[in-house]
Amino acid sequence: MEQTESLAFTPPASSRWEEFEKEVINHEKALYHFAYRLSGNPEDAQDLVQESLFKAYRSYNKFKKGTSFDRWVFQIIYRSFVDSYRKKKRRPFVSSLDESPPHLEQNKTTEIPDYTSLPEEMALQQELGTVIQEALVKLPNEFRAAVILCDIQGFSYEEISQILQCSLGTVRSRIHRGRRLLREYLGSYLKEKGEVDEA
Amino acid sequence: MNCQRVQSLLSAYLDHELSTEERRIIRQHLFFCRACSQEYETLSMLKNSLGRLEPPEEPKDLLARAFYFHHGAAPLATDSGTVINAFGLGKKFFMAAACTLLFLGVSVWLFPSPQSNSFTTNSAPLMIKTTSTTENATQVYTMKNEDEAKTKAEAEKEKDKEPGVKQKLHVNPDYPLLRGIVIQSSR
Repeated sequence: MEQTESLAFTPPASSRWEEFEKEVINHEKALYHFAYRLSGNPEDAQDLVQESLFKAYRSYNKFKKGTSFDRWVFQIIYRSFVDSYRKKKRRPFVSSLDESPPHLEQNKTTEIPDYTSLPEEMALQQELGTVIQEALVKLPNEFRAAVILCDIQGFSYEEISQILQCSLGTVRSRIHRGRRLLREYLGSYLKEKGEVDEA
Repeated sequence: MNCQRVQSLLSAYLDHELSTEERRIIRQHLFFCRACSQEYETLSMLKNSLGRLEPPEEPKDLLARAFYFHHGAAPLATDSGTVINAFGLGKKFFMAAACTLLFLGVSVWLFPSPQSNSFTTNSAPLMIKTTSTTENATQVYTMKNEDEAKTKAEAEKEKDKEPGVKQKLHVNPDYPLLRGIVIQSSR
């Protein structure tokens, strides 16, 4: 999808549309960030946000005024993500002979490079994002969503339970288990980082 | 509180999602237990690393693209919040039409109207054959329709109903589906 091309899009002239557009512009960044961390790549994140925004506008009359718009859209994004994941799972896997099979790709992503040799803070920060994203993608969907909403988006457990439509106990358990898995995946990296911080 | 219990609550402790009493107990435990304290440090570092992740640059015209790429054109939105879309409307209309046709087809097939049912009126007349084994006599009635045939058959049945009389209802193979009914009485 080309991002630079101009779209022949004429927004509909209605007060509802204007209201919706205003809300989306206010939370655009957070919504895209959530979708990006959930899906793991920009293309899927863009598709996910687009689909969710379309669904959100279609059912905008169900949105209760005075409640949090971003929480409502986060909920739609999560549901759309789970739906698309299920559809993908049902679809047969088609692979090119030129590409390496997915199990080898997975092995490749588990390799964590040695960050002590990177001198620049900027480069470290960039790598940090990549490594954490790779670890996040390996988490089961429900753990990933809970961890992202808690640690990246900064929602409380109560808010997360509303977004994910589950009990507080389930949220607590998902976050705990998600973090433990992340700690396993990022074990060596966190160790290195701890040593760097101490030094 | 043992180490296992404390470690299961460490995430919630880190997120300030525990009661004051639980927080106090865990704080005391962390002060004395090195393993749990180390676990807490690791989780805390992980949380900080996640929190420091830079948000990716979002694409421009995200909202416009949401509608443009879904349907190739701008939606017609009304103040009631409904999105009128030509493809969506056509699909719904087609589904409704298909369901109606299916319903009508099944109804006609299962419950055909008496006018269209040619065998009761236009085909061979109904035959009622009463056989009495004792008298060895056979009566053949020619009927114009089913109801008349049934009434007659019932009348014959009543007539032959005596103690020790067994009745059998047969479908005449020459006239299936109530075209011919043979009532056989045997003593």
